[in-house]
Amino acid sequence: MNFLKLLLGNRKASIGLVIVLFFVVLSVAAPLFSDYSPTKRVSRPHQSPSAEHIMGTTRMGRDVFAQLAYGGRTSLAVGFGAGALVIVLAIGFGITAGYFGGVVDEVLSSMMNIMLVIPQLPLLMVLAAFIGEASPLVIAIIIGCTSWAWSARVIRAQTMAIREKEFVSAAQVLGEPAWRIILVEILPNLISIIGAAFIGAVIYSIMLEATLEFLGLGDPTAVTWGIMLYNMSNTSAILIGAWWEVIAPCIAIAMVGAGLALMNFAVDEIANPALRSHTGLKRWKLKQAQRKKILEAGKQSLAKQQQVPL
Amino acid sequence: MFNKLSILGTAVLIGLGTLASADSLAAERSELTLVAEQRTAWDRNFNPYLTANKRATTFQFIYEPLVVFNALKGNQAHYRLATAHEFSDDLKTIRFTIRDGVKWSDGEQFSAKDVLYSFEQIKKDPVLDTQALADRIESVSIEGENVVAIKLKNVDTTIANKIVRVPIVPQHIWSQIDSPTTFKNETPVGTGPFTEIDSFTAQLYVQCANPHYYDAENLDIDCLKMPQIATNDQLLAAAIKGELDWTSSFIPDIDRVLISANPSYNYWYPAAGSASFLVNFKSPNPGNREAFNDINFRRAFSMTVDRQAVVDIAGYGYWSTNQYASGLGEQFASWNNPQVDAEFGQYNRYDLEGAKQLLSDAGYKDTDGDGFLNTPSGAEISFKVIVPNGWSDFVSTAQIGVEGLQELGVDASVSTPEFVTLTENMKSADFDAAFTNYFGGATPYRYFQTGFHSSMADKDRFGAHHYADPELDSLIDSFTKTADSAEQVKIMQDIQYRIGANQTTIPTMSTVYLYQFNDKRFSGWFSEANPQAVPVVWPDQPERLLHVLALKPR
Amino acid sequence: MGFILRRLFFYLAAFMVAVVINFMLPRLMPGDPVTAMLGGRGAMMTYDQIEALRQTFGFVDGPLIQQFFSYVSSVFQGDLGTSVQSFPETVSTILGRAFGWTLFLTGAGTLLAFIVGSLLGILAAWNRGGWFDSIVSPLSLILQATPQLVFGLLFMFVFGVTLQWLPSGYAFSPELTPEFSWLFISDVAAHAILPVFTVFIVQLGGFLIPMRNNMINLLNEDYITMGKAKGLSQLRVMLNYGARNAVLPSVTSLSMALGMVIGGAMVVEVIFNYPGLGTVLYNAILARDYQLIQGQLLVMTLFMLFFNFMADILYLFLDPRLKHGGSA
Repeated sequence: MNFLKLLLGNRKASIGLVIVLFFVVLSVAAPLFSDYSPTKRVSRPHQSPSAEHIMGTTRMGRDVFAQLAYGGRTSLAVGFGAGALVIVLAIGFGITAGYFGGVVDEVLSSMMNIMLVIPQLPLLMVLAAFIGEASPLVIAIIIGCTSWAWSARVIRAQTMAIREKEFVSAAQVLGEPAWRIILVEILPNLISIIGAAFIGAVIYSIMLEATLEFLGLGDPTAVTWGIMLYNMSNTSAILIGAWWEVIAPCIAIAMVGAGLALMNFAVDEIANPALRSHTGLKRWKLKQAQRKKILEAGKQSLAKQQQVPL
Repeated sequence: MFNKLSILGTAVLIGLGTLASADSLAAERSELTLVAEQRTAWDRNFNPYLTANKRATTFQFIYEPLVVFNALKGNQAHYRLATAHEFSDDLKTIRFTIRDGVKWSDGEQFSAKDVLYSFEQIKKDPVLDTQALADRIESVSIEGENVVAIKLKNVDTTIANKIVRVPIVPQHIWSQIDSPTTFKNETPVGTGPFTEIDSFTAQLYVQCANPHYYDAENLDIDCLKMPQIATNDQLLAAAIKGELDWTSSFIPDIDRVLISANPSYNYWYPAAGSASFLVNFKSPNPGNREAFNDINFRRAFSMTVDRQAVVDIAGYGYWSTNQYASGLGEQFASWNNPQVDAEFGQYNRYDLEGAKQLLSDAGYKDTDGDGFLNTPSGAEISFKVIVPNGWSDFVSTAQIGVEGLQELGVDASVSTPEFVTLTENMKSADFDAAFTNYFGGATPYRYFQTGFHSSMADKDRFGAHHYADPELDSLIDSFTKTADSAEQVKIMQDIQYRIGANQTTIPTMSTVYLYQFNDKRFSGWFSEANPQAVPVVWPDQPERLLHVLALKPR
Repeated sequence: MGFILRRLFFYLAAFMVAVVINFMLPRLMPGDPVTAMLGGRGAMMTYDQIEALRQTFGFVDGPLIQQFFSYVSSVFQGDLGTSVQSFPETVSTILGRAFGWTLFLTGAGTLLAFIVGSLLGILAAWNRGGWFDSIVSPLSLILQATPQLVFGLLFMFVFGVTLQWLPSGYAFSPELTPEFSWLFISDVAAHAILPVFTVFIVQLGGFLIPMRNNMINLLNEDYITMGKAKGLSQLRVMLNYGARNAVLPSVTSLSMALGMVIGGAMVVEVIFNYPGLGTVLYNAILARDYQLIQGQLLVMTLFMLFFNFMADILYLFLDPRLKHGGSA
């Protein structure tokens, strides 16, 4: 809860949260914002934005705004779903390896490292092609199952550090079972790292989903931001000049990414106060300025030679 | 002695020619720029037997065919390496008379022996048999001086179309090749109009006129120029700049995107093979099967397809609607049986209300209250229309079709499996409904044979409605047993009636042959005003040889 | 040296895992490549023909384990098989042709991101809390959180298609022959601007933020304080003491990024139709060109391993603690 408070107290985090919430509300309550079905022909092809269709229509005469709103449901669900899967796997692998150490750690760490050196996007493409007509759910699962290694490594390192702390040793001496120590003593201390890793995984999953679908490896009848881009490129919307079809999903993806990134930036600052606190540098700058004044007062000519403008 | 003299003569002539044109060589040479295939890099490969990676200018341009059959002119024969062909009286032998005085591009004499050799070649290795003819040919022999007789295993009067697609190669070259399936044939020797590879890089190659071309008096172009182009977008960019002369690619909204930007471009999109929805009479799902086997359901399905929307939206207005109850399509209009349309045309026009009426009269209603119709016996109808992944115009078409079905109250949706999976499922009757294209051709025979003959149901996706009608089969078979054209028309009309009366298929639209040309540097282009032959530049269109011979530099 | 040996052993193990994945994946794929390849919108082949073609392409039958060993042995002989879609070209030829372009595209984009990102990171650290930092740092993170796909499409749309300032496809104009001439080189450069910039911009944050954070941490360290105490100028302190040390982790991450981006720049290549490995893989997947897909994944993995190894070695040189038998 402390963590949440800190997050809300941070300006960047609040802006990010507002952006993300905006898209969540837009997509969850899509029927409130758009009268059109995202999968019905409601107008002629490639109509530019108008009062009736505020973001224009696609080749199939579908309303771009409706697709954006409804598509957000799936795209965000995939992002958060895959992110959650990533983080669950990462916690599982990371804490187990970090806490138990020894052979367990050797094995799990090798798995993480190997996962990290196999190029992921190509592997995902081949997997998606292999499964064929990959639905958003399938995409979420394969992203989740291939992206956990990085976070797992971070969590493992942190777990190892915490394990050495006194309160953990104390619990061990008292004969607490391992699962209890992990849940009660270790996990709470990992919250900020897990939070950052989760947000990162969500960003990454949204990007990957859009990419895979754009490349034609998704289910073309689904409504998602990636499929919007796929249909856009398939119907040569760029050449025809239907800019609204390119811009709308691009902006949505970029905005959500930006919102999450701002939140993550803030989490970083909270977790590592040195990045935030200005005291050290301010004091030095102040001293420097004082020194400058003295120097300027005294040996003005010499000081000028030494000073390089910043 | 004569040979040496002629070589000497040629050398002198070439020398003189070089002298005469040395000062204006590049400017005077007429180069026709065409895009006959889209790839990411050119590989120097002119082996006519390779299906995947030979250059698209290999057939016709390097290897002249025996005959070019003009599909647009009712299969009219344009004789090339052959001067005549005829069937024996029992229709079991086809004889080609081989042209005299033709030379290979290396100066060697061409003869009936080369033709014989070429047909023996395809029997050696199935890979070389790209037309799948080896099993249908009993024997090949030379009769007299210059007649090649091909004895068939079974009567098939349509086989000539396939036979003339077998590449005719020089025996004196290919008999030296150990492995014709991997040979790259970098410096080809042929009898066609453009045999000399003038320059070759991964981005551009130029193929120039055969110095020994027998029909040189009809050839006015010096060279073909093939820039490497990988995507439609790249092609469009080059076309707008006026860099291309002859293309057959998809350009969206062509009037707005290309013609308005470069008015010397023009296009002509004659009708090609048709495309239809089909339902699987052997569907694994009982409810769907009951509906699909009911002619009222099939008719109602057909009446919910908004064909005009399909053409305008999915086909950019290039396609034409197909309301022929047999799916015959515009390209075969001359074979049409008007009686079919008179009787069954009403079931193949967009008529949502009529479709609703038809179904409710037949006893379809929502008995289980899920918002969708059930069969008269109360079984659930719920199916997916499958269409290959990535065929985006077809996916759009299927989506429009499904929209109509949903209006009707039928629980239908679109699914896009991989092409191979789709084909497997369709062949094994493991699917409900699909949208597929069909073969075009000179006669509707290939369309009907591959699409409706019961022996084809498990061979490919075309006949995958899995509906067997022995009488229809024998009608289709009888077409190949006669060479009498009046009788052939009669057979075709009977076939149309049988298919139309049963509503075996749900005809939707006819696709088009894509063809764009630049009028600036060359004249004589085939067009709507000058409809000589199918104008496409792709390699599977032998008529392109006639086209290139018709062009004149301006 | 024990460290290097251990790493080498790990890379060998990782490589073997990649080989196994590589071997299994295409074999689990549905459909057969010959059908996929020739199954255009109107192709039909007889069973005999398909069988004959399978053999020409070298699809060995037999027990899986036997196939596996013949695969492994040919991989170690450098034989990656034959492409189906470009038969009879070998996979190695095709990959060789594409490889240079990918290296150029990703190398240029990543190096640029490293240089610009590090410099901006230093400035941001120096300006911590100021206007420059509070704009540039979040902005670079936002850029990093935006897929290449989005930038690629937007650049293509704005500069390639609408304004037509820059070519929007391929690596050079088709009428030019690759040669060492000003004309050709400038043409290649013009074609590279949009894709390189796309690779650059999404990677910028990846170098800027760590550099900034490292700098900030270092600025509080003792020897920096000492430098300050000695009365050295701000710039000297920042560059000589701060940046030189803060850049070390970035150098190793540069090496890793190079390996990563080889696979990651795929989308950019597809959007701009750049003739690199990404486009090759994309086309190979569309055409179900098994052997090409396999070869491709293997080469990309090798690259990741190579650049990771480079990172290890760099680390060894830059961090003296490791030289004296410390563990990684």
